[in-house]
Amino acid sequence: MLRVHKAVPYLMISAACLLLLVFRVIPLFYSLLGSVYIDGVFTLDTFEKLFFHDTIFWRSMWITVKLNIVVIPLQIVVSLLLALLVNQDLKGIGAFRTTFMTPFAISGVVNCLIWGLLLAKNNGVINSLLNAFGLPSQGFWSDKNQALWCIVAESTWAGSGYWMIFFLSGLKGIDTTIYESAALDGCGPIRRLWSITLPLMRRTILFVMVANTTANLLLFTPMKTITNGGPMGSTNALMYEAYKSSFQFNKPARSSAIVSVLLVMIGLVCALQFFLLRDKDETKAKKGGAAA
Amino acid sequence: MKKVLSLLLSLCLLLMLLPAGVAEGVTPMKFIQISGKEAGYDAATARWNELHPEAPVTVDYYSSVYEVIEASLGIGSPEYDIIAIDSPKVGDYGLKGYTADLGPYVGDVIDTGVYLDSTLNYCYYDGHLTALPITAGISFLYYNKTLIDQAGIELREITAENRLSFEEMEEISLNVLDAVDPDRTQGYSGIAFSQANLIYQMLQLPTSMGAAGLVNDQDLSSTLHTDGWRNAALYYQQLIDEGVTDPCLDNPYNFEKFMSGKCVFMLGTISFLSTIRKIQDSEIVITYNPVFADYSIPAAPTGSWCVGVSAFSQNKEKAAEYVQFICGGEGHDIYIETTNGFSAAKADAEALLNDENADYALQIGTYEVANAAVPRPVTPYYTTYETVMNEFWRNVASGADVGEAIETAIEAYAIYMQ
Repeated sequence: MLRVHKAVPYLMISAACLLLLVFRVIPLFYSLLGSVYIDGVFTLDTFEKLFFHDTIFWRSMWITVKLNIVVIPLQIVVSLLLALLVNQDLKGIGAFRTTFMTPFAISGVVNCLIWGLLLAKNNGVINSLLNAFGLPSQGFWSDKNQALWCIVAESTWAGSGYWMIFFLSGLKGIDTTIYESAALDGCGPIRRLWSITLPLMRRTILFVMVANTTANLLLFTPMKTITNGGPMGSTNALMYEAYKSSFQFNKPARSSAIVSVLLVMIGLVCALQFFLLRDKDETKAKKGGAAA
Repeated sequence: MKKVLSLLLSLCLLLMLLPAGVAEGVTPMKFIQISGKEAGYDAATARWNELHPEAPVTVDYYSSVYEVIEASLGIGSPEYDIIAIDSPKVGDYGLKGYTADLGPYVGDVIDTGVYLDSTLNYCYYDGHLTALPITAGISFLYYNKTLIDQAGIELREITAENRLSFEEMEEISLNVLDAVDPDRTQGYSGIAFSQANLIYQMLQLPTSMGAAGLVNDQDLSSTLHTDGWRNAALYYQQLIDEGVTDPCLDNPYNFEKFMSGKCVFMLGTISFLSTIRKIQDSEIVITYNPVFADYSIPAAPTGSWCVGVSAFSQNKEKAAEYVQFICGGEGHDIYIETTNGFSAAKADAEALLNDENADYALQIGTYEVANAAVPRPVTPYYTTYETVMNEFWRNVASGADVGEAIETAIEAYAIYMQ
């Protein structure tokens, strides 16, 4: 058997690690340092101001939480349902998979422009349809009570096809004989989904949840392209506030502090997801092995 | 196959490395500018590059030029030697240390005597000259006479002393809309603010009602807690509610709509002039800015574009020479000729005033600069003011309660000023 030097695998991943280091890890630390070092002096003033004197930050925090509480489960459920639908052996199913995936293949900015026009208050497509049925026009992007939910709809439309692909690959990895045995034992489709599909998809679900949480907590394009954080700050999520703080208000320390808070939020949510979706049997086995 | 691929890769590598090679004695410079001004700057810069092969300039254009400047100069990058500066931002960039003091080059490579005092006054921060003006900006009222004729309306004579009122414009707009788009499904509108919801344009409303643009640059309450601002915001909402004005929440630029012939009036800057004159299907008339009937205060949005030298440039003297060339030298003449812009040079303004056959629109512009100009607030915190006020007008346009929008703006300004 061919023997490979111990260093070879590390060499193979070194390029990827280097890129991650340069484009992810270093900027991350740079950002963290930027929030606590001002003019070369260590200070927690930025966080003190942010947490105790900055009502805009707390409003943005609430908007971010509200947005993510809805959009993360919604995207996961919709993409899982789409994956289950397109996981059928039917003629022409590939066309459906491609169609569902298409929004992700389009640039995020273009997606937002399309949705901006669809839901425009004046002469928007949806309002024109509503009017045609005798219903009143809606504010959508210009209504402070609706704009955030328009973003939820846009990002769910844009993202679900992408996450569907991961679920689909997870579904394809499940041995079909398990379903055949379950069917012989009299299991219905709901029971099969609950007792076979979902448990066996645990790792895929975990990955999608973590990646989806990260993507949505950092959601930026619709705010930048369509709403500018308005109306009345109703879509001013933390990531957009961090952008404004840095590029419009010249407050890089405040921006870095907001990004650091986001990072901690992402870490905490992902840790919670790992905890809730942990494989108890696997954990027990590991503990048993360690004890032995 | 492998050999071909290797050859191709080597060739690519070579091509990538080629631009890195710079001839000895040549100090290339980079100029960052806002998109939309390519023709003028490219023509003028081409001439500079002919005259100064030892210091060639390349111009990068960005629509989000302010953000790119913040990102680049905010970290002290020497990438850009020359920067575009909107006049109210002169103080802002000076405060942040982005701009070099041009004082040492005055008399040697810079001649301040060629510029209009009104535009040069903007270019100082803390007593130091940090930019030079290239163009003066002024707004006009443009109207589509063809649409007004279609509605059977005869517009009265408009002069500097007897300007059209906003109330008249509103009434005419409603009559035109009733005539050409009675069920409001064809996308016509009455009054367009060319830069809707942006403070540059919207400042016209409160200042036409006698309010100040900014009373105290430390807080907004003394500015916004005035009848002028409150009534201006309410009037803007009224125009939107009546369907006279488009709220333009996703695109602040109404110029294209006016160009399409579907809008009766547009309040817009002189920069649109040359393009608007190319409209074939409609007769467009340029006239003086309107007033409110109860106030009769003409207020034309104004401002100038300036050019400065980055404080982080490695070639400050040569960059200063280019700034003089483009703002007040041969490059400036090329720029003005190419763009048909409104020059900030003293000689050009004097020539215009003394020329009886001069362009009518430019004569109106010159009159408005002298008699109705409303400069934007000069404050080192202009960027904060601008961003908060843009949000304020967007909130007003989206139908927010005006009182609530005012308090939100005051609160935001206080937080960002901390």
